[in-house]
Amino acid sequence: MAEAVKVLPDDIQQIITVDNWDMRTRQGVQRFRELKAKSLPSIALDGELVYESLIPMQEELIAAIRQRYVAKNKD
Amino acid sequence: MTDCCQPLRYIYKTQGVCPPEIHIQISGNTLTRVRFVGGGCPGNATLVGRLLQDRPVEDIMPLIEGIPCRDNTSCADQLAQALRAIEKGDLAPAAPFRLAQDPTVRSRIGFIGEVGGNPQALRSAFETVAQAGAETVVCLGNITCPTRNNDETIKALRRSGVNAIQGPNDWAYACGVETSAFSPITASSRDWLLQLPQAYVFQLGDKKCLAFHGDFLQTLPGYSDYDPYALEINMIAGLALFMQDETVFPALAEMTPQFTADVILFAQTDRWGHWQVGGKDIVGIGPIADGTVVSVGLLQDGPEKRLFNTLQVGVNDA
Repeated sequence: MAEAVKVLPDDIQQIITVDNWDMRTRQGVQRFRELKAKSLPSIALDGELVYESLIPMQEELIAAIRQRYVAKNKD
Repeated sequence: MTDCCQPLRYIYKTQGVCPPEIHIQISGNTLTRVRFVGGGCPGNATLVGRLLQDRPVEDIMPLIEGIPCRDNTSCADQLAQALRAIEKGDLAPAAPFRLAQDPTVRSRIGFIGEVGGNPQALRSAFETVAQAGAETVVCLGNITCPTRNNDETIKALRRSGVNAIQGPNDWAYACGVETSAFSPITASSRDWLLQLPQAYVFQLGDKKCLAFHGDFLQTLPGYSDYDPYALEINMIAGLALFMQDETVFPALAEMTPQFTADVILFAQTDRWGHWQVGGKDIVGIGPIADGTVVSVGLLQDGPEKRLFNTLQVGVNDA
């Protein structure tokens, strides 16, 4: 899943900050539970769980990121 | 002596003195805790521990080095040798939790949990396990509890030769930080509890098994998410909340291929249970006594046998 984020194009990389939690650690488990995730791998955007158990197509992930970016910056 | 102020714990195996171990905790260059464990003069040892606590190691050394008691050494001198060994890097910090490894390949093992100072239930459990043909018994801790007869229970466990690991009550007693609700126990019982491991690893046929009490292991000084078996502990305790949260079982199943153990046993929830997730067996060991019913767990190997069973027997005054 981390790879799907890592290979996003540069213009997307510039508007996002990526946090990667290691599920082997207590911190990773805590974040997983905070997000109310159920399965792995999971991707959350702005603290909202968006993808679980599946790696989205790159276009789909880019669209989801852009949609949130536009909504946050419309003013 | 050490570069940072994160406390480091050391266990020094003594030579020529009564206590077989000295437990030492050091923060930076300060001795923050010292315990002479398993023998000797408990009063004097406690006094020495209190006098030396929170003092810089370089101030302590001239006070303790070279004192003879017998065989040209003493508890104080052994402590000096331990501190020298730490300084030279010859004594490595102790693992955050003690892991006992059973060298024998087992085919049938009995388990008890939450003994809670109940020697009567313990006797019934031993009889039940023996009748079931178990090769050995493992007690998953909380041997002690606030109000019951802890010394008698500890004596019964020591006599029986049962493999026991600590629960949080036992750890609190071992460290001398139990609350006032806990009944007093002897120094010998306290030392015995301190020397107990906190996890038990054994082989059941071709299955690697891990037994621990619960999440107090994660609070022990120096606990690392990358310690041996920490992954199993983090997943069972933190992720699956001791198998009480079924919604995360798919995530647990994703993590189990990284487990070292095939079977994991815990005792924290006071409930008996057996789950199979991601090809691993996870077993909850319940309390030894519930009213007048004494319960033990039986883990056995073999294609024809069910891996885990609970055996119950009714007794008077359990």
